[in-house]
Amino acid sequence: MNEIDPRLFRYIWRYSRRDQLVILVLILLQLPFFFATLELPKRIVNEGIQGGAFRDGQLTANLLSFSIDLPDFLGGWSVPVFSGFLFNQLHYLLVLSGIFLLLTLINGWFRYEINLRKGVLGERMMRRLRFDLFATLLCFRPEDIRTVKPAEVASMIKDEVEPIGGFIGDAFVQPAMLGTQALTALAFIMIQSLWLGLMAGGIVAVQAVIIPYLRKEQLRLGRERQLASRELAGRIGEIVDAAPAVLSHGVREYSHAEISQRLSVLFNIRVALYNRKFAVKFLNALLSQITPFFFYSIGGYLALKGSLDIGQLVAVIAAYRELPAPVKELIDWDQQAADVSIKYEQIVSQFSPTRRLASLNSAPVDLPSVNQPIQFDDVRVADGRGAVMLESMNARIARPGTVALVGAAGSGRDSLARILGQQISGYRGKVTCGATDFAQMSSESLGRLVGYVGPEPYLINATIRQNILFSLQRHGGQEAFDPKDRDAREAKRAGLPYWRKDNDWLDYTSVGDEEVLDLDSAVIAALRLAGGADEVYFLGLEGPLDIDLDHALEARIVAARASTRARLETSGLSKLITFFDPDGFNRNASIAENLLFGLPIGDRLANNDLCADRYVRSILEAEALVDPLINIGLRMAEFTIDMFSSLPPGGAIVERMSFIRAADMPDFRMMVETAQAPQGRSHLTYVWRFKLVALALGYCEARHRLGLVDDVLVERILRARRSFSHFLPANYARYIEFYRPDRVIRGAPLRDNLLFGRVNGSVANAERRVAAFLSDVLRETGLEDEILRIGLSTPCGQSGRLLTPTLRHAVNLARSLVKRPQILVYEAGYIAPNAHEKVAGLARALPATTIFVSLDEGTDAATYSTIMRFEGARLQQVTQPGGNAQGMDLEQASG
Amino acid sequence: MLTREVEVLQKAPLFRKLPAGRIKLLAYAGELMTYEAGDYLFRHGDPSDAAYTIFDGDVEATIPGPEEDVVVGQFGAGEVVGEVGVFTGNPRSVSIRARTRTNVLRIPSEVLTDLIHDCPACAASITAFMAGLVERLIDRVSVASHH
Repeated sequence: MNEIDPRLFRYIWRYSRRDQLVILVLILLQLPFFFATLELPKRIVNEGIQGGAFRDGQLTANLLSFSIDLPDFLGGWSVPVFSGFLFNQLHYLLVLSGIFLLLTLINGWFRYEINLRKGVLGERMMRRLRFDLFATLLCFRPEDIRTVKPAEVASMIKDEVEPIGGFIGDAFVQPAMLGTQALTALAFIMIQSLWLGLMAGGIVAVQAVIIPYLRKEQLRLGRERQLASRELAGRIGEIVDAAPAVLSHGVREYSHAEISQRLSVLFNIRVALYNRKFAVKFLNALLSQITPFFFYSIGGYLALKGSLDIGQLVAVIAAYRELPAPVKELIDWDQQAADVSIKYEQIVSQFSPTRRLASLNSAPVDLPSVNQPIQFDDVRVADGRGAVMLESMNARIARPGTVALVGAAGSGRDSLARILGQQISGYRGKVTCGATDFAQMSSESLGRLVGYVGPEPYLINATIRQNILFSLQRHGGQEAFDPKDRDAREAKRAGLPYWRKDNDWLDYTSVGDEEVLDLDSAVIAALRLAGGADEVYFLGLEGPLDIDLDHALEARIVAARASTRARLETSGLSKLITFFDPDGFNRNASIAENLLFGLPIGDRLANNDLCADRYVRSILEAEALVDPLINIGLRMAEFTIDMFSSLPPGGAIVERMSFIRAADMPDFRMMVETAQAPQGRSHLTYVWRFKLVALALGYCEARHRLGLVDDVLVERILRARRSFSHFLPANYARYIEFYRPDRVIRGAPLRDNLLFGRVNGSVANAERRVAAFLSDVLRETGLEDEILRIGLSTPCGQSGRLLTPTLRHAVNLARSLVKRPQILVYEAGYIAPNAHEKVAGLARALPATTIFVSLDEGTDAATYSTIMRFEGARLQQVTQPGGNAQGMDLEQASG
Repeated sequence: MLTREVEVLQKAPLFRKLPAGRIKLLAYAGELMTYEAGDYLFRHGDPSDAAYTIFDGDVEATIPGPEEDVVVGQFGAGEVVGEVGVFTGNPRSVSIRARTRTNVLRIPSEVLTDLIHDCPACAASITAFMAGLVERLIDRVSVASHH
């Protein structure tokens, strides 16, 4: 990645030369046509209307004849190429006008083409600029990037670049187009009449000189105003923050005075600004209006004298119309160029790291062999202000092994861990492993060599699986360029990488040696080692089964269902479960759930919309459920009004418990009042009945306990359940998964599928007991890995917010483990409680890996093969519990 | 409608003096839960997120001892446990464990705090109950110190 050119115009020209040149050629090609549109009105007036071509009583005149005339010094011959057509005066006029129309169309097409190309060019360059900025950001050294504010940088790349992109298309094209147009028009006027031309030129020149001058002051005032208002806002904020102090010291008057003064400054700037602004406007208007005055008077005089014909005068006036606009736009362009250049320079200067990481395309280095020791030679770290973080140290750490970095938080132990983990690259001295110098390796090669687990897990908003495999996404860029791929073509044109995000980016070589790899097994293995498998197992139990489940797995799940049921009965846990019983009413489920007896897929049959569906309504009507449901709805509404209307809205109880939203309350009150009147039922409107039924469908006896469901209703609902599935239209099949003992319920959790029922939420700890019970069943049926696979698809949320802190850390660790690094740096005080066991486990599972663990002072580190003790920034001692101390080296280094 | 819950709540000393409407509200807003013998309703140090009215069964309060948990009290049907933590906002000072199969009405803390905020009569009645509790405690402490 090259550094971004600090100068805007150079940057634009370097990367868009070809496109700019094409547009410039188009502009030049357009000029003759533009000139002709100026010229033609003159001929239309003179020859067509005034009859100049039909002088001396000619009835017809020749048009469109074309000949090549040689100048006099070449003999002055005229070679006719095309003899043209003869027309009478009316036809002559019409043909000329037709040509004028044609020219207008041609000019229009040119403008369209130029503008389109200009727009695309600007967008393409903006894409490149954004990408360059982003890529530069990832070239920052880790210690620098940590000082960058994410929101600021994101807004720079997204918003602040936008006006620059808009300008890039105009940068060269606009002055070329406007300039040539203005010059053409001016030249045309000059050809018609030198005097008029000089006059127009003079006025334009005045415009071009005076207006920018006046405007400069206007801009300065504008900036001053912006600064002053920003200060005002800052000051108000400050005073509000300090309000308690202001009040307690009784200095309100002073604050008033200060703000009033600032407001007065703002006012004065605004007044000065208005003076300027409207003066400029006035001058602009005056200059563009005064020229036609000269044209009419002087041009008219010349025409009367005969030195200018009417056609020319009309054409000059028409041509002048083309002048002020380009000049004004040129002035604007100049202003914009200055503004945008400053903006660009500001942005680019933010993206100019003092030191950069090695660029992306540096060739991958061969990794050292796993038993070559790590050598630290005179390694020293200072922070940005020169404070020493790690005093000069020398050490030689044998590999593989486990290394304890013991010291206080913030001591040299952290600096050392971060050097190894690529979190600090600005260190002095050398860290080598055999012939490999860490500082010379690209971040990609180091990423293969070292796994760094920091205290702060950075999880992306994706599934657990994607988060763990994140560390292996190194291999997507080897794809050949496909010229037929439009996006790839465009990316290449903008100078960006053209490979795609959805390629297979994974670097399988790190995962293992097997030829056909089951990635999920590798991920699960890493997760088990990291200690997150149990939690993922629970997530998997609750995670929905894939809609496109394969048949083999489906059969296994259905088969496991029967044995699960039998074992539940014998273990006495079956009372914790409400089984799906096709002939039984489930009091733990809502009326709607009992009616559907299946899992709604999508929104169509989901609770809120259920009753809006025509088929559902027809079943309710056919099974005479509408009236009983309206009754239930009314009872619920009465209860809610009775219970909640005296409570202030917005309280926790109302929010959580009320059947009816506060906004709908008056409506339901009206329904209840109407229904309570004699014969009131018949006055309930269709919409009301509909709302009451919808309310009733959400009623759950076990939860709401209002005693509204009796045996008669249960019978009817069960009958409606049977007709609902029996008559279900074919196109509804995809909206529901019925609970059938011999079929898997897609979209429902595996747990519910195995139990063929739901855990009863009102029994304490039921979920945990059932999960523990299921883990035995699953192990026997070999479905345990399936559960983990489903669990791996759990989304982590923004920054892993949806996971527990423990699981976040486990995923972070698993991410480093899955790539089986030669060196694992575990900088994480939180593993403390069982750190030694965990590290021992890791060392057993990854025998070739050298594990560095940072431990707090006073921790017993006897089980480690090497211990490095730090006192503040100083490496105090390196001991090998099995071998001898490296005291000598240290004396030398710190002396 | 909620008759059994209302009956039990009306007998509970903490809620006895609440207006009938509010008792019904508590009955509705609460959650019926079943605990098997040996299950914990909550443990020492847990966040205090609910009070429990015991419908039937027995529970015991324990505090962590040097060797094993020490039983410090027993509660039965009609009694309320866990309410003090809800009002103080502090983590649980004791663990509560079911001695037999126990049915309870679990009342979430925000329901109780809302109740106090919105209903002065409720606030007064609950304050009176808590004050009585403190009084009894002081008596016990002074009796103990005399011994």
